[in-house]
Amino acid sequence: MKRKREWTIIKIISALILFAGVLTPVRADVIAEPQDPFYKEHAEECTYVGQYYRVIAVKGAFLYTAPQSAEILGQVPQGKEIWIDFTYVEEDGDSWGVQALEGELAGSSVWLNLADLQVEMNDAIFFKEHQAEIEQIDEVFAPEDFSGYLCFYEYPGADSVYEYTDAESLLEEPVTVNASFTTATGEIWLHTPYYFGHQGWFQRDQPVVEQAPLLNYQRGHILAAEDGTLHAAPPLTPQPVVVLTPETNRTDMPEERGSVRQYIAFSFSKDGLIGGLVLLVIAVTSGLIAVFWKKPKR
Amino acid sequence: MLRSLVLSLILTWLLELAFAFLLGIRRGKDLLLILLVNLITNPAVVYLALTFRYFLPSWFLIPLLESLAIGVEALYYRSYALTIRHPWLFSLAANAFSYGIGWLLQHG
Repeated sequence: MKRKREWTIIKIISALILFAGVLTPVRADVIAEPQDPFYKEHAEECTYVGQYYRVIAVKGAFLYTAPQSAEILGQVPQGKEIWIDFTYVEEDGDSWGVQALEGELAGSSVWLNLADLQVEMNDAIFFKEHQAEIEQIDEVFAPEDFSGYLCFYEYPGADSVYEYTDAESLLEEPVTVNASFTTATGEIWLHTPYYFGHQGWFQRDQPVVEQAPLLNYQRGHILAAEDGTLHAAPPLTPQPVVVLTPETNRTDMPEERGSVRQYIAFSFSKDGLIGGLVLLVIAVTSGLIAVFWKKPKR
Repeated sequence: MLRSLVLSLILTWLLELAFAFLLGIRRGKDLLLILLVNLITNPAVVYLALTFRYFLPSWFLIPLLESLAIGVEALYYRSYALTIRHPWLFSLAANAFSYGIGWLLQHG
């Protein structure tokens, strides 16, 4: 009876421990805050940015558990995009950015030195920086003659096509335009807030598009012809034609885009010493117990 | 990481000793055994938790490590403790107590 009660209590406490293990540090707010000790201690000094940065350091950007920590988790190569949730500026002026990991690793976060990163231009930043030069208009773009694809970009001058629409759609339905921007070289860019699910900037007098790399589209499926028009690449083996569609919600961060998770390296090199020390302590302590404690007769 | 290991061990020692005292365990050698057994399990659990926290979800990692610690400690108490009459229950309760207080201190 006593044993049964003991096991019942064990089961209850086990369930509580499991529940505690399952508890993930998620708040009801939309923004998931990092849960590492450093952030918690300096939360008031951190600023939410929620944007992409690009690694500009030649050696890449190291991933840390905390600013100035000696514990390096991995390295992001130069040129890669990283999403930063919050930034923190130290007393000496050093700026750090943190990404709160999501999904199964929610609760963990990784820090990067912002000196190794550069803000990735996006439409919001572009609007903010060129507010004075952007003219608010209310027009439609309805070319009488058009061929190929009308390419939309996240901001004027972006190096990758964001989305595109074909000539057939364009000639059927004009594009609503709500802003205009003229570059220093005289290029006129127009902005559409919505066009068949697309939005973004396009060049009014779109010249021949030459080898525009496509964002959100797998390379190789779309090819640029010599005249710059875009065509679907012929399949290598007979297979059903796959219609590529843009991401339905482009403001959502794609699963891997900008995530540091793919750059975290599993390494025992530095912590191996500490691991060895732990093993040594276990061995010595076990030995001490075995030598100095007698097993009681039961 | 070393700092985390040491701080965690000290906190665990204090909490588990306090828990043992609350349960009326007074035998010096048994209290010392509790300290030594936690010296075996606590640094290992913290080390593995910190090492694997970016690779395994916490809902899996923490219960796994805590269960292993509870098992190891219970076996030691069963084998060597004189006044810990219910070693498995004691191990489970002591670990739940120290984990719970530790969690509250961290998230409170």
